[in-house]
Amino acid sequence: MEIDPLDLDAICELVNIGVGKAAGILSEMTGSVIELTIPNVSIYSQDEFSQILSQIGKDRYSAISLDFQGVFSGMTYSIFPAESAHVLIDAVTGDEISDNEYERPFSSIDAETLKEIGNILINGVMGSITNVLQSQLTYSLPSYCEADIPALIQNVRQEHREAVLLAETHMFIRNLNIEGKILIIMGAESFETLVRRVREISRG
Amino acid sequence: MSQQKNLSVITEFSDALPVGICVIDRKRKILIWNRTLAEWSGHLSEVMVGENLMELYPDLNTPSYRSRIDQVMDGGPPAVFSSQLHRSFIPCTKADGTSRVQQTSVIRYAGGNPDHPCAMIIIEDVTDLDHEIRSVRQMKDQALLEVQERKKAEEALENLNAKLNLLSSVTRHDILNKIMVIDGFLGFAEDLTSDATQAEYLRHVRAAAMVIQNILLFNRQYEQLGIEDAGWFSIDTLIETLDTEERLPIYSACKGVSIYCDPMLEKVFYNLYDNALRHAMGATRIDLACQPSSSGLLIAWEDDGSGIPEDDKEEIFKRGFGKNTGMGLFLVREILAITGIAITETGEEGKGARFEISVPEGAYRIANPA
Amino acid sequence: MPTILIIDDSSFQRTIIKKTLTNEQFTCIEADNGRLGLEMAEKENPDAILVDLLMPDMDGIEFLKVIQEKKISIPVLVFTSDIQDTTRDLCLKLGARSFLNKPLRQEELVPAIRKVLELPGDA
Repeated sequence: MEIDPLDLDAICELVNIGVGKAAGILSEMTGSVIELTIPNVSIYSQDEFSQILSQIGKDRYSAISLDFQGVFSGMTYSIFPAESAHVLIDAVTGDEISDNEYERPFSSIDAETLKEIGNILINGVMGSITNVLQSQLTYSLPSYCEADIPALIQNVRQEHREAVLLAETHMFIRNLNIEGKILIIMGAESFETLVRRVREISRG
Repeated sequence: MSQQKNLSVITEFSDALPVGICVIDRKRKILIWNRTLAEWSGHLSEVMVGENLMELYPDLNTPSYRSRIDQVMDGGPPAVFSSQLHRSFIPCTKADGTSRVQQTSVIRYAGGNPDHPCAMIIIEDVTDLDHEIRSVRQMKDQALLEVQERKKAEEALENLNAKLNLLSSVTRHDILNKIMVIDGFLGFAEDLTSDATQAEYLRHVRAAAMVIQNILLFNRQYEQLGIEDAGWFSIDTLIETLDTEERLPIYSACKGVSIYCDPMLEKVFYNLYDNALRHAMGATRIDLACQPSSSGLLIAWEDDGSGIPEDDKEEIFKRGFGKNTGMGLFLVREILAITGIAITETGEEGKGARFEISVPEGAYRIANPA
Repeated sequence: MPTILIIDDSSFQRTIIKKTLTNEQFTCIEADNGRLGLEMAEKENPDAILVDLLMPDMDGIEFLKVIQEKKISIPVLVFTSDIQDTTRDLCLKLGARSFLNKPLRQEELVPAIRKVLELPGDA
C-alpha cells in the first residue's frame, strides 16, 4: 500500500500523543521534568527491512515486547541502547545517575524495571493507535530480552512481519539524553487497516 | 445479568488461585476480591466487594497508577507494575510484620459486557524472590568492595616495593662505587708493600671486597625477578642466543617447544651453560631433550662431564654454594619457580650432570612441525 | 462567526480540529509552525488561538512568550501530548488560558473555546 506524507504525518502524531502520555507517567515516577522532542517516524515494507539496519545500526538493544492480535496483529517493541537503559533505570529507581557504569550488564532487577518502563511506552503508543482503530485487540503480557534488530524482527510470526513502523524518540531527563525506539512489526493487512482508518478520520 | 454470572464464575475460579486477584469496574468499584488477597490483606471479600478501591488505597489515585489503569480499561495493553518500582500494589503485612513484596499486572476484562469494561488486577507474591535477589546483590556489592580494597592494598604494596627498589638500587650503586675505590687503593697498597704478611692480609681484604661486589651484582639481578610480566619463550631461540664455545656444543631436541616463564628465562640457560663450562670436567657435549609427561613437560639438560656428588644435589641450589658467585643455580630455581616450574639435579656422579626441569600442564606448548 | 487560528505541525491534527470546530460554526485558519502562526495572529487578528507545543520553527512555549512580550491580547489555548503538570503550570504562567491534552475530545475542546470567548453554552 502506497502511503503519502499526510498518512505519515497522522501516524507520527499518534506516536507523539502516545509518547507524551508515557513521558507524563515517567515524569511522575522519576519526580523529574522530561523534555520531549518530536519523534521521527518511518515506515518500511518487507523488502526495505535492510534499510532499518542502516538507519539504526546493528547494536544489541534492551527490548520489551508485546504481542497483539485483532484487526491489527503483530508485535510492538520498545527498545533502548544500553546507555539510555541505564539512565532510565537510575532515574526511576531514584539512584544517582552515574555515567561510568554503562558497561555493567543488566541484572534481573534491571530487566524487571526496564520491562515496566517499556510497558509504559508501548501502552502509550498502542493506546493511541487502538483509539483511532476503535477496535478491541488482545495482548500478551510484556516480556524482556536483549537482541539486535534482525533477531527482533525474526521473532515475529512470518505473516505478521510485512511492515515495520519505526519511531525514534528522544527524551531528556535531568539533561541526559534518552534514546528510545518503538518498533511496530505487523502484517500488510494490519498496516492497511491503520492507514485506512487514519484517512477516514482526516479526509473522509 | 450475563456479566454478573460471569463474575461469579471468575470469583470461584480466582478463589482457587495462589495469586491475589481483584476486579474493578471503571469507577474503581471492587467486583472481585479473591480468597488469597483476603488472606494477604486481612480484609474479607464480603467486606471489600462493593467498596471503592481508590478510597481504601488512596495511593492508587496518583496519575501513574490511575492513568495506566485507565489506559487498560480503554482497551490498551496490560500494565505491569514491577516489584522494584511499586513494592506493594495493595499493602499487605505478613505475620512477622514485614510487608509482602508484590509484582502486579493489570489486564482488561470485558466480563461479557464490552460497554462496561473492567480491569483485573493480578498480584504475585515475590517476597522470597526479592529477598534472594537482594541478598545476591548484597553479596555482589560486598565482593566488589573487597576487590576494590584489595586493589588499593596491592597498589600500596606496589608503591612501597618501588620505593624499596629505588632505595636498594641507589645504595647498591654507592657501595659498588666505594668497592671500586677500595679495589684501586688495595692495588696501590699491594704494589707498595714489601712485607709478606701484610701482602697476605691485603689479599684477604680484596677477596672479601670481591665477595661483597658479587653479592651486590646478584642482588641487582634478583631484584628483576617477577618485575616484567611472564610470557611465552621458545627454548630453541634462547639456546641460539647463548655464546657457546666450540669445546662444549649444545644439541637440542626441543624444536618448537615454548614455555611460559619470567622473561629472565634466558638467565636460566645462561647459568646452566656457565655452570657446565666451569664445573663439568671432561664434558664434550650438552644434550637438551623435551618429553611430555603425566604432569606436564620434562626438559632434560644433560652433560657428559664428571657429574655432581650425591650429597651436593640439593646443596647446589642453595644461595652461597660453590666456588664462584654461589648465586647461579639459586637464581635459576627462583626464576623458574615464578611460573610454577621446578628444577632438580638427577645425574649420576662420574657419568655427567642432568638437570630436570618440570613444566606444569598449561605452561608449555609445542608448535606443530611445519 | 468567531475565527480560531490553529497552530500545529501535524496536518492530521489540524484537520480533525478544523472539522470539529467547523461543525460548531467556527471559522478556522491554520498555520503549521509558531513563526507562521505569529504572523497570522498579527495579520488576521483571530478571536482565539489553539497552539501545539512541540513544533519545529518556534515551538508553543516560545510562541506564548512572544505573544506575552508583544502584548497581543488574543486568548491562547494550548493543546499538547505532553501531560506533565510542570508543562501545564509553565503554560498557564506564560498566559495560556487553557491547557488541553491530546487526543482532543470534542466534549472538552468546544466548551474550553466557548469559555475563553465568553460564549453561551460553556456549562
